[in-house]
Amino acid sequence: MNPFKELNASLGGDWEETNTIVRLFFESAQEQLNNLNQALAQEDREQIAYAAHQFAGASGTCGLTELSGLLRELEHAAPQADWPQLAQQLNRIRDGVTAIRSQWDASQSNNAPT
Amino acid sequence: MDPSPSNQPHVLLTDDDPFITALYRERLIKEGMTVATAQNGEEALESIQKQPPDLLLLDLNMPRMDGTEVLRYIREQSPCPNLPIVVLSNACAPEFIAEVSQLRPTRFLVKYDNAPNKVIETILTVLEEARASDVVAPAPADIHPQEFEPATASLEVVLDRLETATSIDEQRESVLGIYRAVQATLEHFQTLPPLSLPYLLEDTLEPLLEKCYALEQLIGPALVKVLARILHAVEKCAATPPTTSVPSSPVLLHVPAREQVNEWKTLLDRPGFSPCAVQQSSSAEDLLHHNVFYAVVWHTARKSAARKALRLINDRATKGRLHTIFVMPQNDADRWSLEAEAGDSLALGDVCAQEALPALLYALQAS
Repeated sequence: MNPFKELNASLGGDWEETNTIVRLFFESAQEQLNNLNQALAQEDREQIAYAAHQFAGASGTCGLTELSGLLRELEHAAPQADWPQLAQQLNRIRDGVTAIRSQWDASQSNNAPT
Repeated sequence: MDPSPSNQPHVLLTDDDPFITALYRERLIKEGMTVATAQNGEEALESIQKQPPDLLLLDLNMPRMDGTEVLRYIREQSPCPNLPIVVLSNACAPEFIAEVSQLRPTRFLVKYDNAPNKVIETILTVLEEARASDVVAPAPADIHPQEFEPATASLEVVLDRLETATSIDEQRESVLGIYRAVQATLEHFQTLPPLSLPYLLEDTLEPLLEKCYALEQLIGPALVKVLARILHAVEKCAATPPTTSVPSSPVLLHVPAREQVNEWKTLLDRPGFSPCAVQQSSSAEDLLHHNVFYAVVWHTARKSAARKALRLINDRATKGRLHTIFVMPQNDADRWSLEAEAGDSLALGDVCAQEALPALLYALQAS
């Protein structure tokens, strides 16, 4: 399954455009995950909420509603400073990004987006 | 910086997320526009001073100077108060939505709900409207209790807006407007002699709320439930005008943020309601220890926590009717509304205390 199928549909089926946005998204996602890791290590709940908020917007823009939902949950949970819980949530998000990346790579190597 | 050449529209993108600015910069250049970018409000105002744009795409949650401050400055103090401004925000902080609506953004888009093409389409439409009218008239101000007469005309305005709304976001905005209009109208009714109430309610509020209720397909089951409760309470109120409009009822609040607690306490310190003993809860178990309350307002970011609370509330509710209003992220509220219904409860998404208040007042009135 191509995780960016919805994004592509909203771009009128333009795969070149989709590829450009997806590349930008993965660059941004890596940076946001680094920001979140660092904020968690420093127990900086404001920074966690801020990075999660920003990352949720980017994910939603790309049609990744499930990832965006997880990030919004993280954003809303951050003020409670339950660090083990936040770490678990961040793990789920990291796994989610990895899965999206794998699905995207698979769809590219098949060269037949579904 | 030189002004943009010829008739190319010039757009200023303001967002602290480089992904968003890079994405829309490319897309707008492809549409034949010149584009400047800013990462915060200060940079945006500097850019506007150097080269006023034809349109500003504005994020809200930004460091240093946020989008709300930029919007306020432009509308109230700048030499270009009618600048077309498309707000593109995550909008997960309800207070932003309420505040921003009063500052007359030309459009308000939520990032989660709007794919890039929709955003570009909106920008093109707004630029087209600006060209057509030369000066873009700001969108009608959002209804706010302090700004309108507590009469049915206000409700008609928000209902018209609801009927013509084309996006979920616009519908949500309109429904929040209805909450506020109903709330202010009822506050006005409380100042009138009791005998005039049945006539006023039957002749004004009731038909309008029925009209709201008929829009079920448009506004979704959770909001319909709010309106249904309002309608039910209005019917009850019209049938037997109360001597005091709202009983003096203790409310249990479960609110994680201190600012929200203060907001609720201020809101509940009101004529016809005071003295209201507001008890504050810090965990679901408090539901077992506090035993004198008639309604619960439960703010939560997690469905699992809400589910636990609902279970405890349902157990406790066997001792008497207990209304609970869950305030949670919009997506969760939409998904959770059916579960919440099972417990005589209501799930509201992304609303601030003021916006949730009408539902609480009617829950108390009905209890």
